[in-house]
Amino acid sequence: MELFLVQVFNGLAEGMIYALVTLGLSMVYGVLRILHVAHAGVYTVGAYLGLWVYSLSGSLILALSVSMGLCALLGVAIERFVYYPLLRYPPYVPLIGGIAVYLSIEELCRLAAGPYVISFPAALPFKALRLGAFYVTPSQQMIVICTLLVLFLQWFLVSRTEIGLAMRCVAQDMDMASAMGMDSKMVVSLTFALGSAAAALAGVLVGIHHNQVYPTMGSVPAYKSLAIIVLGGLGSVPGAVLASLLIGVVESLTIGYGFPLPRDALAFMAMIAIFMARPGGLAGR
Amino acid sequence: MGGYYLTVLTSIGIQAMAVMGLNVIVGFAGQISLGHAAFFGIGAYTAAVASTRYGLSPLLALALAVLVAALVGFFLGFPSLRVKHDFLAITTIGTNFIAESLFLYLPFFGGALGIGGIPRFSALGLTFGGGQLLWLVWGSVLAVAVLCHLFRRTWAGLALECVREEEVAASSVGVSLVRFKLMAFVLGSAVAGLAGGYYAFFMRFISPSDFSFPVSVMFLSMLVVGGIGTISGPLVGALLLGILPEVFRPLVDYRMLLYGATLLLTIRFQPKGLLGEGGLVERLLSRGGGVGSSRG
Amino acid sequence: MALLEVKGVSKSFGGLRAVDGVSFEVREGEIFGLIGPNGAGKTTCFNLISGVLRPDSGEIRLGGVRIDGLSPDRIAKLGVGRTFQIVRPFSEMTVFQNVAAGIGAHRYGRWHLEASFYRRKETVEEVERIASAVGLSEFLGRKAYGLPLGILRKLEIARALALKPRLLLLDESFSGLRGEEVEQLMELVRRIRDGGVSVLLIEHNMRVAMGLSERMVVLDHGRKIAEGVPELVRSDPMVIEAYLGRGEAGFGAGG
Repeated sequence: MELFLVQVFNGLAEGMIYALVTLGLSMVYGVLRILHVAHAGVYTVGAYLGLWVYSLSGSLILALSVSMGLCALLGVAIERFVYYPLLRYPPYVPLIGGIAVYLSIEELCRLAAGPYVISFPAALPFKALRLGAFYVTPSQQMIVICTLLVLFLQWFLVSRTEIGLAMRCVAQDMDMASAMGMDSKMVVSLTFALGSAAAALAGVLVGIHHNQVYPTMGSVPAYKSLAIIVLGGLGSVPGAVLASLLIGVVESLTIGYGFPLPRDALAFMAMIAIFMARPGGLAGR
Repeated sequence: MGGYYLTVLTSIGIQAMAVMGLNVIVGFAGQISLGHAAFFGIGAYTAAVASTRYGLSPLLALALAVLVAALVGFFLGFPSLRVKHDFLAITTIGTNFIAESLFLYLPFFGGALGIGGIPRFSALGLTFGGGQLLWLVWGSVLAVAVLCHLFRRTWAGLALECVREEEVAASSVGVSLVRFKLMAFVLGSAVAGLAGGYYAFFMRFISPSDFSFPVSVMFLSMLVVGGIGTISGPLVGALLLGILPEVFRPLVDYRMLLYGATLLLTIRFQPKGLLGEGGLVERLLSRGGGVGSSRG
Repeated sequence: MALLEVKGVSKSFGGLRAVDGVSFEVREGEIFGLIGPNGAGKTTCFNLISGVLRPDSGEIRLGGVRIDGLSPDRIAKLGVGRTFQIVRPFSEMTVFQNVAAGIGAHRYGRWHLEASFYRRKETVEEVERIASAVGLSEFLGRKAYGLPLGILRKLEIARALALKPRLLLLDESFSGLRGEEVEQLMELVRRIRDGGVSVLLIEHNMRVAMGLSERMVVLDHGRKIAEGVPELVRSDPMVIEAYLGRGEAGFGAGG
C-alpha cells in the first residue's frame, strides 16, 4: 500500500511538471486551434536563457523575468511569421510548420550551446518538506506553487477581465470577434505571449528540477503534451492539468509495478484509445 | 564508383522509395501521416529478424518485410477513418513513438542495441554488395515510380483522389471511404516496408533510433519540398535534401537544421512544394512559355 | 409505382427534432418537390436518404429495398445520386475526372474492375455524352477549382448522372443562379426526368419548385404539413401560414 502511495505521489509530482509545460499549449490551442509543437522549442530556449542569465547574475528572479519576457516575444514571432499566414490551409500545414520550427530551434540550441547536458544548480528559497512518508524537494514545491499560480492567473484573466472575454470570443469564432470590433490579431498574439512565457517558466523550473539543460529536452514534452491536451479536452486548461496529473500517475504506476509497456508510449496509447472511442477527443469538437 | 558515392546514392534511393510510399498516403489520398518511419522501421526489423534469427533467405525476408509492413499499415490506417487533419497528424506521431518504444523495449527487437550481423542481400544465387545493391535499389525505385504512375490512372487511383478532395462527395459517387483510406495506408506502408527491408540489408545493422520521429519528419520534408502528389516529387525531394549536405561537407553537422529550415520555408511559402501545382518549378517552366505541367 | 418510400422517418440532434415522423413517396419517372421554410428539415431528409445520416426511427426504401442505415457509397451504388447545397466539387481534378468519378461507381469495391485504367474509349465517350447533355463540354479539360457557380452546379449534376441513378436528389441546385441559367437548368431537369430518372428536389426558389414539381411535400419544423400537386399546395392555408408567418414574402408570386 505504501509503495502504491509513493508511486502515486511521484506520479503527481511528474504530472505537475507536465501540467506546467502543457498549460501554455492548451491556451494557444484554445485560441488558434493549432497544435503548437514549437511550444516545446520555446520551453527549451527558456531553459537556456534562464540558465545563462542566472549564471551571469545569480538572481533567479532576474533569470525568470528575462527568460519569460524574451520567450514571450519569441512566441509572438513564431505566431506572426509561421502560424498566422498559414491559417487558411488545412490544420496540418501549420502543424508541420510548428514541427519545422521546433526542430530548427532544437538544432540551433545544439549548435549554439553544444549537445552536452549542462547543469542548472539554482538556489531556491525553499527547504525540503516532509509530509509523512513523502519528501517534497524545493524544486517540486516551486513547481507546484508556480503551476497553481499560473492556473489561477489564467482563470482570473479569462473569466474576470475584459481581455479574457475577448480571448474567449476569439477562441469561439475569430471572424465573428473581428466583426464585433475586437482586435483578434492582438488577442491571438497576447495568448501566444502568455503561453510562451508559461513555457519559459516551465523550462527554467524543469531545468532546475532535473538539474539538466540540453538541446533535446523539449522533444518528449513536445509530443506528449499533444496527447495530454487531447486527453484533457482540447482548449480546456483545467482539463489539461488534470490529464497531466493522470498521465503522470499512470506512468509512475506502470514503471513502479513493472508493466512491460514503454513509459513514453503510454500517453499516446491512451490518446489513440480516446480517439477511437470519441473522434472529437474527450471534450468533443 | 567510389564507396562514398555508392553509399550516399544508395541511401538516397532507399529514402526516395520510402517517400514514394508516403506520397500514396499523403499525396494521392490526402491523409496526413507523420509516423511513416514506423512502417519503414517495421520493414527493416522484419527483414533483419527474419534473416538473422530465423535464417530465412534475404529474398524471402524482404518479401516478408513488405507483407508485415502492409499488414501493420492496414491496422494503423484505422485511425484515419475516425479522425482527420491535425488529430490524425498527432495520432500518426503517436504511432511512431509507440513503434519506436516497442523497438526499444522488446527484447525480440534486440532492445537499444538493435540488430546486427544482417547478411548482404542475395537472390537467385547472386549477392548484392556495393554497386549491385545500388542498381537493385534504384531499379526498384524506378519500378515503384512506374507502378505509382499506372496506379494513378486506374479507377482505384481516381477513387483515392476523390477521397483526398472531398470525402462526402466521394461517398456520394460510390467511393467507400473505409476501403480506400485503408488501401492508401496498405500500399504506402508496403512500399515503406520494402524500403525498410533494403535499408536493413544495406546498413547490415539497425537500431530503434533509425526509425524515430525526426526520420518521419525528414520523409515528410522530402515529400513537401519535392512536390506532394507528383510522381517525381519524392525523388526530387530525396535528392535535394540528401545531396545538399553531402555536397557541402561542412554542412553535415547542420543536416537536421537544413531539413527543419527547408521544411519551414517550403511549408510557409510553398505549401504545395517545388514541383507540385503552382510550385516554383512549374511556374518557372510555364513562364518559359512551353511545358507547363498539369496533373490531369 | 413508388421508387422511393420514406416512412415515418425521424431524426434528432441533441434535443432538436430535425425530422419528425415524415412520410412521402416518390414515383418512377416523376419530379417531386420538397419545400419548406428555412430549418424545416429538408437537407436533413436528403442526408437521411443518401445515407450521410442514419434515421432514429422509420424506414427508407428504394425500389422496395430498405436503404436506411446503409453507408452513402452503398446507397450511391444502388442508384441514388445527389448534389450538395454548398457545392463540393473535386477541386484539384478536372471536370472530366469529376464526371468519370461517378462513372466508376459500379467499379469501386471490385478488385478486378478497380485495377483497370479509367481513360478508356467507352469512358471518354460516356463522359463526353453526359457533359454535352448537361452543357459542360467546353469545360472538360479544366480543373474544377475556380469555375463559376453555375458550371459547378452542372458539374455536380453531371457527376451524379454518371452513376446512372434511378433517383437524383437535387439540393438547392438553383440557388445562386441567374435568370437565364435557371431556365436552362429547368430544361435539363425535365430532360433528365424524360430519360427515366426520378428527381427529388429541394428548392427555395418557388417559381422553380412549382414549375418543375409534379407533386410536392411541404415540411415545417421537421413535420409534413402538406402534400399534393403544386396548385393545391400553394393555396393550402397551413402552408401559407408557415411561410408568411415567418416573414417570408413573395410566396406564390415567384422567387
